[in-house]
Amino acid sequence: MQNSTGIQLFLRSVIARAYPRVFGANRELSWIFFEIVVPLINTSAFVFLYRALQAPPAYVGFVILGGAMATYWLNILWMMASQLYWDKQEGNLELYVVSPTSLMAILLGMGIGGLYMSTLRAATIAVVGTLIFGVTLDGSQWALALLVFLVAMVALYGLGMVLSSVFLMWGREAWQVSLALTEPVYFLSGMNFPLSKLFTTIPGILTFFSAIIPVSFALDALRQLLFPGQIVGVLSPGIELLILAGMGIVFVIVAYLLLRRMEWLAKVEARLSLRWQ
Amino acid sequence: MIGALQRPARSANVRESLRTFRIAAWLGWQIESNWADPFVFLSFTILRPLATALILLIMYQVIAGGQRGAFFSYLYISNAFFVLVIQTMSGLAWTIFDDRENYKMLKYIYTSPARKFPYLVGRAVAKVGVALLTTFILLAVGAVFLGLRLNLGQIEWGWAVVYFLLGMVILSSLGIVLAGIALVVARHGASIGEVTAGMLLLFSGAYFPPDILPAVLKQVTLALPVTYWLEGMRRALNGGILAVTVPGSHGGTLTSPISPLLAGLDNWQLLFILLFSAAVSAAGSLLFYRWVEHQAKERGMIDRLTGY
Amino acid sequence: MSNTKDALVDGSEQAAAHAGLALDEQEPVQRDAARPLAIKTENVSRIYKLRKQKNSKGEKQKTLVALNGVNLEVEQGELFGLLGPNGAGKTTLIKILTTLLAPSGGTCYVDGLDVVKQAQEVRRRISMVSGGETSGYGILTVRENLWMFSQFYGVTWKDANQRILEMLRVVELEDKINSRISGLSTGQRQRMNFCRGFITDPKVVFLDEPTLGLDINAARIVRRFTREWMQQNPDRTVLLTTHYMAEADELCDRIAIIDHGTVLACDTPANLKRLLQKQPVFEVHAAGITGRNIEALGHAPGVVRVIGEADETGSAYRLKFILEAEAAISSVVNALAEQQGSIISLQKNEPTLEDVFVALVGRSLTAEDQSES
Repeated sequence: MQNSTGIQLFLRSVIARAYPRVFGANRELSWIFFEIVVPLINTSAFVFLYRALQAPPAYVGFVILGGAMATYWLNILWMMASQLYWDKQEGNLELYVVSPTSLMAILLGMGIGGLYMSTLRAATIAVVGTLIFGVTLDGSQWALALLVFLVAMVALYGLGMVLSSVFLMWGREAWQVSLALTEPVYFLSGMNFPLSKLFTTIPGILTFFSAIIPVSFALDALRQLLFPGQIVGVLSPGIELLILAGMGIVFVIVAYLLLRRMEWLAKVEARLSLRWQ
Repeated sequence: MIGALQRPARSANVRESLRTFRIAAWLGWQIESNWADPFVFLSFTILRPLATALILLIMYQVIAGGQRGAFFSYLYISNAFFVLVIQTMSGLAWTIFDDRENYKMLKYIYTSPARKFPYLVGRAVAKVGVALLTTFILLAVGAVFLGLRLNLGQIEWGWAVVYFLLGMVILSSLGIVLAGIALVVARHGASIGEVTAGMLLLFSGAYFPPDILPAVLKQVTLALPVTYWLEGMRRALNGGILAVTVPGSHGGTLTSPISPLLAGLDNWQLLFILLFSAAVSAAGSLLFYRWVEHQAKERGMIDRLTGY
Repeated sequence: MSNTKDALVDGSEQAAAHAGLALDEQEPVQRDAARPLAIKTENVSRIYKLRKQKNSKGEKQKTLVALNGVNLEVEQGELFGLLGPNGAGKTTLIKILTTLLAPSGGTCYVDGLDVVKQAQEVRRRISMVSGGETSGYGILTVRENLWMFSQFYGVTWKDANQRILEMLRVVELEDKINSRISGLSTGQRQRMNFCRGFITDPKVVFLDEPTLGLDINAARIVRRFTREWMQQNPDRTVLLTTHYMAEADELCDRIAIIDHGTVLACDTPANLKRLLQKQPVFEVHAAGITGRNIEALGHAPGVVRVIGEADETGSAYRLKFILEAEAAISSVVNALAEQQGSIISLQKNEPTLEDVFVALVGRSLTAEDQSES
């Protein structure tokens, strides 16, 4: 029996790891409620807050877009970065490491599967939210908006791989870090308000952290493209697209190097199969 | 002939429950905290609620500018106490998930003589304790750094304590209901507590007065005890109903409650509603949990692993 | 005991038949210098750093030596056994050989490849099955789980599906092929995991207590398959760790006995037992003695080791004496009389692998399991 190697093995592994996310997830349909209906309601709370504050109508669109992007961030944290922690607990991580495939392939498969689930959720939130709250989008630059979105996904999931590699070493600290990165990232990325308003409020160091989160510039660019003239962006969408592309390249390279290093460290410190840390 | 087993005395049951509670509380605290030193642990704990408070601050500021009016107090105080809503409900549901899927200990708890409710509540106590501390820290940070108008002299302490205690009974009961649901759903049900809290954000008047909701949603809000609890806490800390000053139609200014709907209830009416809610939710949650526990046993969910 | 002995003799005969030799004529496996060794370890050690741990005396412990200069050579085509009590270092050694763990010192080779420097190449050639595994995704079916893991080895879909069906038939699990893993019993899950170890057509298979959690029939199926697979694939190698002496005796061409990270002995089962023929084993059923008496009996002249456990009644003990020479039995009888004990029965046993284990390690696996429980 001749087994595949090289790129074929990589692709097989990606498809195999994406499979449980794409097909397995449909078997416990309660996720539709937990990950689509409820976040929609959650996003609505912020919409009504803006209405109570008598904010301009475009702000409702900002919140809905932010809610949609939040699903991807949560997917990165909980279905990618922390997933290796769960896999370690259940003994799957050992089997991944013992196999000839690379952890990058496993993570990419997880990412693709997660992207599918998140896109379903994000699209539902965006479409339903837009319809319910009567948001008007400008579709004249949809192609550029789509490109921004796709490039942002590469950057975001690259960051997810970086976080995953760190979690190879950690136990419960990883879990706590994931928890700690939820709302702070919402804040730093301007999930519910224009990024430019945040940058004029927070100190410089926080601006830096905000800038390296792909969601920040992705949201800012998308808002400028879909609500032109109703928001003051930090930079033009074109420049923000280039920054996101650069981030994507950097994060993927860093993830590759860090995964190798962390895997080695985890082997030396016997953390690959250490459970209940 | 085998003699019938004697039922243990009531005092023995109480002692056993207290013992289970104590051990579960210790266990919950270990799981929550022993991954880091106390300073790191506290920092991580306060980070999320503080970030949420800052999100709300920026949202308020982009529209209202630098002023910190009554609406800001409404928003900030609600958010500070909403931390308790999230942690109390998610703490109980999370225990089920954690013990079943992560530590795979739930089946051993269930096959032991340990009392289940004291165990559940005990395990969640650490989260609730930390949430309480977080609430106090948020209020202090708000008052000192963020312009929250909070005057210790004007707080109605008596009402604050009574509302708080009733609220904890209600939230714990809701948490037990969610813990029951967690028993019978797959792994993504781990977030059921937080998810329910998210829904309550819309329906409890936490971030905005329920008056601005469409009629149907308004009715949902008024049917939830958490709505009245948050209103009670806001009033107690503010020393009265929160109101804004608006220009009058004939010149001058008028004081208008932020939520006229809730302002129509005085403190005694609020108290009655909360008392009734606490009694009903406590009884109802215990009955519901027993029923869903039976369902879980029928379906073999007590030790089922559902990852993907 | 005699039933066990018969089974062991039968098993040993099967093992001898596998090696092509009669039981009495078994000799150490001759090395074919042209073929690379399947597994080779050179002075391998592994030291764990401990955090905030104390030993049984309450003293702080900073390190734990799990492996201490282990040297092993396993030929291609061998079914090699690793026996040892809990905490001996068996799983640590397997983790190093399967590239999960880095050694603190020494070198290891699998199929001629360095497990540290050539880890990726090693992984293409190996698979691992651990006993008591909970791996897999509960929401997927048996087929889907096995298919998914086969893809991480680059197996084509056609080959994967074929191998999955074949393996599931072998372990009598084909009726569960479309069942979700979350609905399987522990034994069924273990059988599924056993299949996973073979569908990728590995050159070296590491079986870490593979029959743990299996009923007698399932364990027999697993052992039979392992033997047949070795016979059909003479260039494949299996390294097996187990607690079950009978399993090791039945399956293994050679066995290494390991304790506290050190290999105490390494030879064929027959040769290991032959060691003890120089040291006869007597079993004595005695009444009127206590645990303290047993310790005293151990000091009788000519006694190498004695272990004992209470019998079914609780009022008598079954003692196993390993003696320097047969004549020493008289000192045992005298010592028993001095301790006010009375002999219910006395018989001489053919040495078993367990006797070898006891002689080398100083305690039986049964006693260890009991003391831990």
